[in-house]
Amino acid sequence: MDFIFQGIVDGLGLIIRFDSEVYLIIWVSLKVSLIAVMSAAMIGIPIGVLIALKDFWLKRALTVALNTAMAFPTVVLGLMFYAFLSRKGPLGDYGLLFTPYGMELGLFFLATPLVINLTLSAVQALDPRLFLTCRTLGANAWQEFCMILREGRFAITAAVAFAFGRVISEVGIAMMLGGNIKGFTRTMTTAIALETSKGEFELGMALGMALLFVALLVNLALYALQRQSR
Amino acid sequence: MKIAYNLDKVDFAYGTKKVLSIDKLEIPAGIVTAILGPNGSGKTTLLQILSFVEHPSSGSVKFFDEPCTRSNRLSFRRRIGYLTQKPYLFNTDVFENVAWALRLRGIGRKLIRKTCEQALAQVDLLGFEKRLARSLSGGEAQRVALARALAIDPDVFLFDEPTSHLDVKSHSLMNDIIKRLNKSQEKTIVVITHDYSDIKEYVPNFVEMMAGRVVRTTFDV
Repeated sequence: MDFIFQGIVDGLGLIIRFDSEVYLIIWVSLKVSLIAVMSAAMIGIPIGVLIALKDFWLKRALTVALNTAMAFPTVVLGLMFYAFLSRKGPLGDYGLLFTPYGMELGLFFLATPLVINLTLSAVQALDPRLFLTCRTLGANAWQEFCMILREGRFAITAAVAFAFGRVISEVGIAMMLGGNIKGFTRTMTTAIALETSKGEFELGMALGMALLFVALLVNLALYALQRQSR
Repeated sequence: MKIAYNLDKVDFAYGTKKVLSIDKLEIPAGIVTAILGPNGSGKTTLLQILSFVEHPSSGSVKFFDEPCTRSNRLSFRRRIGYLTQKPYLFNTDVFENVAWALRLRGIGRKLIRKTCEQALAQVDLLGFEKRLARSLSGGEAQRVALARALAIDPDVFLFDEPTSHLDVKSHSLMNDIIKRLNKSQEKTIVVITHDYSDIKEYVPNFVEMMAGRVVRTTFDV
């Protein structure tokens, strides 16, 4: 127990002393995750709304595919992108492997199905009279889309927050596409895995606490939004 | 006599199930017309076609002598005020609910405020602007929805059983507004009702429907 307690105390010390290595890792994690999730939200939310509103013959198959994609193991996704981004792969010439861009690309593909699927569910859960009301009041497609986002704002924000939680806490893609390069692609999760395997328990503990703190912040923001929307 | 709607060989189907088949129907402008018929006779579907929210599977609909096409559908829709028996109010305050349709039309802020206040005054809800729409009673919500339709000052009002869930006060207010819209402003009004006796005194014209077909019309203009 002393060893765990000491790890927590040392970890807290690193955070309080503003240890540059800890904060650089946190910064890389936040930057890569935010870019991936914001890109996924920009693409995924309109697609989710569109799938929810339109009836087409592949809709059911697409929904099943999206559900499967939500449960996709991150290591397998990392492996697939590794194959694409490696020198021999079709995207090898772009030199994205072991860069933050490569990680962002992989994390974007992890987050997008989540955002699409949860937005789809959020829009389908809205009162169907909303769509009729928008049209009868004279809204064009864009104005109707904006009102759908407004009415479904809490559930859609929760979808984005959920995707952010999944992206920032995953390790497979970050490790395989980022390569865990210190000061460049090292994220909180890959650093925890590395430092713990090296026996550097306090750094792992500090990053673990930082990760929990980020999760807490995201949830607090969601809670505030929920209160505001009531 | 001016014609607001002219329907020619209009069919409408949900998938393979045909729910509406109207050979010919003309609805005069500037008068109130009731649509009567039992449940499932296609009244609401007809109203949705008249609002240009639904599009016929075949046939043509003319609106004030102009055929409806993909390009003018939105502009037609913006000339219509539609009120359902259980209206949907946006999850915001009463003012925003009334103002949104005006904002869509690019109207300036000052005029929006003035128009909203006038519309709310007409439905006896002045002072309710900051109230959350979701906290209103059924009758008040119905009146907000009516204010929303009044605010855009449409050429045509389509009412789908507007008084069926209302208390006595809201019920008589709604009937008074329909009468006034027709008498003083000569608006075209189409009302679906189950209780024709309630509006018979001021709506002598009706379209009677049965199983998706128009079986009788009485245009007593």
